[in-house]
Amino acid sequence: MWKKTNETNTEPVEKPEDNINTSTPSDQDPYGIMKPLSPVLTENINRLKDIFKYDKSVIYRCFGNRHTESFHACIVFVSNMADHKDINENLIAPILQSDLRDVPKVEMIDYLKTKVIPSMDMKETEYMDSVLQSLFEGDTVLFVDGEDKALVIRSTDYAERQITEPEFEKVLEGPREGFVENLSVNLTLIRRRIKSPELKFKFKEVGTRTRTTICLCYLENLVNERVLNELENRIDKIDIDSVVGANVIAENIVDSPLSVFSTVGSTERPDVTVSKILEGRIAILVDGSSKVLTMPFVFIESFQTAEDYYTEYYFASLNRILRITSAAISIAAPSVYLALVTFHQEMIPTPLLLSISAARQGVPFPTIVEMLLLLFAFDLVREASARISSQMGQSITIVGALILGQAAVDARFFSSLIVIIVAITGTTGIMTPKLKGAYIIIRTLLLMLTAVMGIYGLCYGTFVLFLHLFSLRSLGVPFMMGLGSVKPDEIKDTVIRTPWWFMNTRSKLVSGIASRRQSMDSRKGKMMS
Amino acid sequence: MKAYGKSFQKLFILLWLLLSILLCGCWNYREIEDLTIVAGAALDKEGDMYILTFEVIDVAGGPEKNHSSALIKASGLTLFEASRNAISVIGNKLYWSHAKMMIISEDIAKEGLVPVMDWLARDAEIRQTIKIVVSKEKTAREILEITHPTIEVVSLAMDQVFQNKDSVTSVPRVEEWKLFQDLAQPGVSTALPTVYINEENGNKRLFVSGSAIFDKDRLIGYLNDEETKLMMFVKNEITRGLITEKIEHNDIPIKISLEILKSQTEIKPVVKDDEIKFEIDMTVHGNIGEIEGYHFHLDRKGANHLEKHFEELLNKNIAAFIKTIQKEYGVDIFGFADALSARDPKTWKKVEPRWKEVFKNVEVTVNSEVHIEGAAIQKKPIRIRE
Repeated sequence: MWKKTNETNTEPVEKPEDNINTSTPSDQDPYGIMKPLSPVLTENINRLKDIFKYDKSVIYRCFGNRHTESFHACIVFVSNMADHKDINENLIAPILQSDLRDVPKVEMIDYLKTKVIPSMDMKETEYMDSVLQSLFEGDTVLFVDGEDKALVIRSTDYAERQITEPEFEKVLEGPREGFVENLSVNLTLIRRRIKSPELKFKFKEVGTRTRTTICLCYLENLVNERVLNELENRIDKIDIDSVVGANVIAENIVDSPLSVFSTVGSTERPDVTVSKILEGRIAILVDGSSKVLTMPFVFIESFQTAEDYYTEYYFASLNRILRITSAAISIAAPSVYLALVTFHQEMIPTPLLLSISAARQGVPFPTIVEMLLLLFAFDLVREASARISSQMGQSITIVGALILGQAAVDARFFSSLIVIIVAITGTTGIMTPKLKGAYIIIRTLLLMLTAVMGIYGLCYGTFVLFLHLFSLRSLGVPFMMGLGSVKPDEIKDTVIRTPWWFMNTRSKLVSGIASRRQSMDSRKGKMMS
Repeated sequence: MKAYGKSFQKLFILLWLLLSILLCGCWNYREIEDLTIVAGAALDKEGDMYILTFEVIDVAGGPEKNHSSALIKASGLTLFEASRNAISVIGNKLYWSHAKMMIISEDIAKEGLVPVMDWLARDAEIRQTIKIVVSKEKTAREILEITHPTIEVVSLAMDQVFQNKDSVTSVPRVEEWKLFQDLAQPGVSTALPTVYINEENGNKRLFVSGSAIFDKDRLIGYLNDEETKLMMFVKNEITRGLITEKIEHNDIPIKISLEILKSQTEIKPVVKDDEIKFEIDMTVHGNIGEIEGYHFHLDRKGANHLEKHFEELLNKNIAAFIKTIQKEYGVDIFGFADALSARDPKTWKKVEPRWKEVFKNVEVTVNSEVHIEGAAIQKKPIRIRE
C-alpha cells in the first residue's frame, strides 16, 4: 500500500524543477504545492488556508502601511515554532512604519529586503513548496500583494532539549556533552571541536514526506574519496517517505542488511564523533535524532568506549580485554556448559561433575530446556526493566533475583549451576550494549547446534560465525580489518589501546591514506625520557 | 576453485562441514544425572568367573548432602560381560570416565595381568590414567569395604593418597598407559603399588605402602617401603620424598631427614670384551628437613660432611638392594635392559635371549652425589639454657 502512495506522491517532489512548468494532474499533487505563487495576495493566503484546514497553530497576520493604502502584506508562521517577539519588533513594526509610498509594487520585496527588515537571514522564494518547508522549520513567510514571490525570514525559536550527558554512554572522566535532536546544535558541537577549514558539512534531504535534513560530516584530506562517493550514492538511492530516526538511514545504507551485526557505528557523544571524523571516517547527522552514525565501521569499534581515551592506557587496555573476553563468554558460556554436561562429561573435573550431578537431581527438565527457559526468563527481566521507571525497576529486580534465582533453585525447578551460568552470560552481555541483540541470536543458535552435536556443534557454529564476520564489509572496508594480513600500524588501537604518542599514523584501511598524527621525532623524545 | 563460482564454494564448505560430523566418534546427548559414576573397581576371580566390584558414587541426596558410595557386585566370564551385567543391578549403564582406581587381587596378579588388562585397553570410556594397584588382602573387594575418616568414597580417598604420597615417601604411581608401556618393552619388568588394610581401634583403615614386583605380567614378590624407594631411585622415578637416617656426631646419635627436591639417575652400561657392567650415576638435591638435636648447628662444613654421609649411605643401600633382587628374584625390575638396548643395541641383541642369566650376575656400581641446598632454618636452633 505504502509503495503506491510513495510512487504517486513522491515522484514529482523528488524533482520539482522538472514538473514545475508542466501541468500536474491534481491527483498527483493534491495540495498544489508544485504550483508557483500567484501575484494576488489573497489567492496565496487562501491556498495556504486550504492546505492548513482546521489548523489553528498556523497564524496569518495581514497588515498594511501607515503611509500608503495600496500596500497589502501578510505574514504566515507557525506559532511556538517562531519567535513571536522577533516577528513583532523586527518584521511587523518596520513594515508598518516605514514609508513605502514611492516604491513600485514589483520591486516591493526587494525594497523590504534591502532597506526595511532588520533580519540577518532571509531569502526569496517563488514556490509554495519551499514556503511550506520554511514554515515547518519555524521561519516566517511574508507575502506582499502584487509580487509572485514570498520572503522567508529566519525566526526559528522552538523548545528543545538541553545538552545533557547521554544515558547509555556515560563516562567517569571526560566531557559530558551529548548530542540533542536539533541538527544545527549538533553541528555546532562538532564544529567547536575541529577548528579547521578541512571540516566539511554536506547537507542532503531524505524522506519524501518528512523531508529530513541529514548532514555528512568529514575532514576533506583524511576521508577516503571512494568511500565518501559510495556513501553519497547509497544515501541518494534511499527511497523512503519518512525518516523517523538515524536508524532508518543506517538500515538503508548497510552493506549486508541481513546480518545481525550492524556495520554502521552510532554514538550520542560529540567527542566520539569527532575522534571518528579525525580518523578519516564520515559522520552522518540526522535532524531529529540525537544518534549520529559513523562509517566505515569495524568490529573492534563495538568494544571501544570514550573512556578508553580519557584514562591511562594500561587501564583502558585492560578494560578492552575484559570487554572482548566477556563477548566470548556471553556468546559461548551456555553452549560450553551444555556441551560438557550433556555430551562430554569426561571433560569435567570429578568434584565438579559430582556437584553438577547432585544439583541436577530431581530437576524436571533436560539441561537444554532448562537453559533455554532460564535465558528466556533473563531476557524477560531485561526487557521488562528497560522501559519502566526506576521505582518499578526495583520490584523487577526483586522478582528476578528472588523468584528466578533463589526460589526456582529451592523448588528444584532449575539447578543452581545453571543459574550461575545464565547470570554470567547476562552480566557479560551487558558489557557491550551495542552488541546485545547479536549476542542473544548467536547464543541461541549456538545452543541449538550444541544440543544436537555437542562441542562439535559449538565448533561448527563458531566457524560459521567467523566466516560471516570476515565476509562483512562496511562501505567496502573489511569489518574485521582484514585480520591475518593486517599491519602493525593498523592494530595500535584495537585490543590494546596504545598511548597517544605511539599512534603516529592513522588506519590506512579506514581513511585510504596512512596520514601522520604526529612526527616521529616527538614520539622518540617521549620514549627516551 | 574460482572457475566454479561462489555458489559452489558455499556448497563445498557446507558439504565439508556436514560430512565432518560423520567423522567424530561416539557422541550422544545424555543427562548428567542419568549417569552412574564409577569411582573405582576391584577385580577378583572365583574359578573361571571374574567378579567385578564397582564403587559407584551416590549423589541422589542432592547438593546439600555429602556424596556417599555404594558397592555393586557383578560377575561374568569376561570382564566386559561382568561390567555389562552390572546394568541389571543398577539400571543404568556405568560411566567409567571418572574411575580413578582399579584394584587387582593377588590371585589375578599371580596368574598374569595381560588377560584382565585387555578390557581396560579396549574400552573407550576408561581413562588411560586410571591407577592400578595390587591388593595384599585375600580379595580386592575388601579394600573397597573399608571406611575412610573424611572421604566416604574409598576410591577417591585412595586417589588422593597417590596425589600426595610422593611428598612423604615413595610409592610407584602406575597408570594404565605406563603399565602397558612397561609390559610391551622387552626386558623391562613392572612394579605396582600395593594396598592393604590396617586395623586401628577396631576401624578398618586403608594403607598404601610398598610395591609388588612382576616378572613380565606375573607377580613374583613384594617390596617394602624402603626397598621401593631404592628401586625408584634406580629407575629415576623419584620426584619428591625423604631420606631419613641416623648418624653419629661426636658420639651422639642424631636422626636426620633429607627432603629430596630433585633427583636424577642415569644407568650407564659399560661393555668390555663381552663383559657387561652397569654404572648408576645419581644426583640428589635436597634440603635438610629436620635435625633431631638441639645443639646441632649446620654450617657448610657440616653440610659437606652430611652430603658425604648420605652419598655413602645411598651407594651402600642401593648396591645391596640390587644384589638381593639379583639373587632372590633374578628379575630385571630396574630397566637395565632398557638402558643397554638404548645405548648399545648390538650387545643387547647378542644377550637378549639369555638376559635373565646375564642379569643375575651383572656387576653394578653406584655413584651418588648428594647436594644439600639449604638447612631450611628460619630461626636459631633451639638451645635450652642451663
